[in-house]
Amino acid sequence: MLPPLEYLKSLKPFSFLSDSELKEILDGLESEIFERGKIIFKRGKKPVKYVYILKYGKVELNDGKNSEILTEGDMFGIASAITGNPPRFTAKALDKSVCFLIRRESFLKVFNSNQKFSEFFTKLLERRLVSLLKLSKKTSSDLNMLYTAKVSDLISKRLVYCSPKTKIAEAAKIMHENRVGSIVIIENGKPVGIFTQKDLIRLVANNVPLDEEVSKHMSSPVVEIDADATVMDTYLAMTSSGINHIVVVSNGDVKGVISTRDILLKLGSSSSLLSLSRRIPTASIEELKEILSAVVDSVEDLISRGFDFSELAKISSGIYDLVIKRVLKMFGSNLCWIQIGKSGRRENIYPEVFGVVLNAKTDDIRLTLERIGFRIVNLESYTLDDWREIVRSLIANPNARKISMYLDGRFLYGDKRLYWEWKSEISKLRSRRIAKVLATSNGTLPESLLNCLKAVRILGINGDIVRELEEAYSVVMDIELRRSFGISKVDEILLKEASKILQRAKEMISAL
Amino acid sequence: MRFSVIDLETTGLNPKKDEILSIAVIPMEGTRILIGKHFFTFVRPKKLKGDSIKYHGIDFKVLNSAPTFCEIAEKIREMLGGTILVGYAVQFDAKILRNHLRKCRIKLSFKAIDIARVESLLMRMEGYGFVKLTFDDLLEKYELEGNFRHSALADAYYTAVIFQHQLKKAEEHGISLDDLIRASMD
Repeated sequence: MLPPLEYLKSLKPFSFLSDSELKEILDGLESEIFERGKIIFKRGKKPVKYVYILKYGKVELNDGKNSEILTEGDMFGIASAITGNPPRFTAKALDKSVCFLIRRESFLKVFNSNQKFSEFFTKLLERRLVSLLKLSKKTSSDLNMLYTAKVSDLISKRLVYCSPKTKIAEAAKIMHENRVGSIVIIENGKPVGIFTQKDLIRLVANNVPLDEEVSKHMSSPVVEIDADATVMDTYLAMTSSGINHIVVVSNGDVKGVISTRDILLKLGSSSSLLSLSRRIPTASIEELKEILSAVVDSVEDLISRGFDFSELAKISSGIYDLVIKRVLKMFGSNLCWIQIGKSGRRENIYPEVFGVVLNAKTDDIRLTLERIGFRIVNLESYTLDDWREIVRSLIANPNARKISMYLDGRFLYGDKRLYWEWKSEISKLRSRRIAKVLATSNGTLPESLLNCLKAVRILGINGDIVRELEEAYSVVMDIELRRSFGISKVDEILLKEASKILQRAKEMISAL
Repeated sequence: MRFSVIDLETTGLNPKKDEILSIAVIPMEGTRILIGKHFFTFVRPKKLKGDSIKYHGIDFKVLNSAPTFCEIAEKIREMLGGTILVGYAVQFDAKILRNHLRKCRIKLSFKAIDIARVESLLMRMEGYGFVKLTFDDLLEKYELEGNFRHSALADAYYTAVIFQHQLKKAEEHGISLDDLIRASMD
C-alpha cells in the first residue's frame, strides 16, 4: 500500500471512509514542499483548489488580527473548499513544510456522499471559528484515563467462575477454554475466592494432585473493588495488597475480574516509567542514579507481568538513551555518540552501554555512566580516520560479531555530521562476501538469527524467509528474557522451530 | 519540469540478461508529487519457470497472470516520455528499461537523476567529505518511517519524498538540474 494512504487511514475522518471513497481521495492526492516564508494561500483571494494536511513543518493561519500555528496532522483550507468562498485566512509556511493536498473536487465528492465524514467537518467548523482541525491520532492521554475511567469500563470478558467443589483440573480447563488467567469461586451468589494461573503453576510445581477441590487452594477472601472506582484506585488497591487480580463488584454482584496486566495494557505500558523519564533532562548525577535504579525496578515488574519483549525494550532503551544524553550534555557537544549493537537495536532491558564515541576521550564519560549504574559492555572511542582504518581491516579480516554491531549503529547525541561520515563507511561492509560471513558465523541462537537477518538484507533477499527470521528472532528474544522466570514446554517447541528457520536461511544463503 | 520516480524489481543485476518483474512509477511536477497518478504493475517475465511457487519473493500466480512488458510498453512510454527518471541507483533501472523497450520496438532515451548521488553532492556542499548513503540511510536521514524493505510502490513513494527535499536544497545551493543529471552519470 502507498504510505500516504496508510497515513490517511489512520486519521480520524478518513478512517470513516470506504475503500472506494478512499480511492477517490487518493486519486486527487498530491504532496508539496513549501519553503520557509512561502504563502500557501491568501486571505480574501481565490477560493482554494485543495484541502491541505500538514505532514511536516509549521504553518501559520492569520485572519488579519489573530494567528494560529499549525503542526503535524493539522488540516486547513476546509471551509473555503466546502463553500467555494475565498479563504478567511492567509496560510504561510513558517518553516520548510510538507503538505498533502487533496484536490477539492475529490474532497467534495466524498464530503457529499459520506454523512459521517461530512458531519465530522461541519460540527468542528461550527464549534470553532478558526477553520482548522486537530487531526491528532492520539486518543485522550493514558495518564488522564487512569484518573477518569471507571474500572468497569476495562472489563472486556464475561465473568468466568466455578463452585468451591470444582476440581483444580476442571477449573484449569474452564480457564483455558475461556482464555483467561483467573477464575472466581462463587458460593450462594457471593465471591468467596479467586484462583489464578500463578496458583496453578505453584500447585503443579509442588506435585499437588489436580483432583483436589479448588477451594482448598484459592486465595480467600477475595479483594473486591466497586465498579464505579477509577482505574487508579483499582491499581493502587492491587499493588498495596500485592495481588494481580481483583474482583469488580456492583451492588454485591460480581461484574468481572481485572488484572494489573489489563490496566498496564490500557496504559500503553509506560505509566510508571513516564513520570521517571520526565525528571531525566534536569537531573543531577545523584538523581540519575536514583532514577535509573527505579527504572530497573519498574522494568522487572513489567517483565514478571508478561510484557512483550520488544515493546518493553523499546521503552526502557528510550529511557536509557535519555539518561546517556543527559550525561553527555555535561561533556560538551563536539563529540558524537553512536549507539551500536544491542543499544543500536533498542533492545536494552537493563542499563548497558554499547556505543561508539567520535572525537572525545571517554574516560570521564565511562566513569560517570558507571557511577549512575550503567554496565559498560562495549564502549569504543576514536577519530574518523581511525574508523576508516577499522573498516578497511574488517573488510580484509571480517569479524561477524563486530560487523554485526556496527550495522546496528544509530545516532544518539552530538555532531550529526560525524555520524553520517561514520555511517557512510558502513556501506562498504555491505558486500556479498560479508553477508556470507555473517550468515555462517557461530553464536547463540538469537545472535545467529540476527546475523542471518542482516545477511538477507544485505543480499536484498525478499519474501517469506525474511519474515520468518524476523518472527523467530522476536520469539527467541522474548523467551530469553523470560528464562530467568522459568521456561515452558511451549517455549522449547518455539525455540526448536526457530532453529529450523535459522538452518533453512543458512542453507539458502550458502547456496547463493 | 516533469519527473518520473521509478522503482523496479528485477530477476537480477545484469541489465542485458535480467528481466523486469514489477514497475512502480510516481510522477512529479517540479517539487509536487502527483500521488494520485501513480502507476504500478507486475510484469510476466519471458523465462518464467513454473516449478517454484515463489519467484524472487513474488507469488508465481501473480506473475503468471501479469501482462508482458510489451503489453505495457506503450503506457510506459506515455508516462516516462519527456520526463527525467528519478530513482535510487537509477542508472541500472534506466539501462534495463531501455533494453526492454527496445525489444518491444520502442526507442526512448532518458535523462536520469540518482538520489544517492544527489545526496552526496548536497552533503559535499554542506561541508562533508565524500559520503555515500544506502537507501535505508536516506530513509533514516529524512526521517521516513520504514526500517525494513517495503513494496516497490512504497519505495518509489519514499524516493519521491527524498527527491522533493533534495530539489529544494539544490535550489538553495544554486545547483541546476543539469548539475544533478551530470552528478548521476556513471
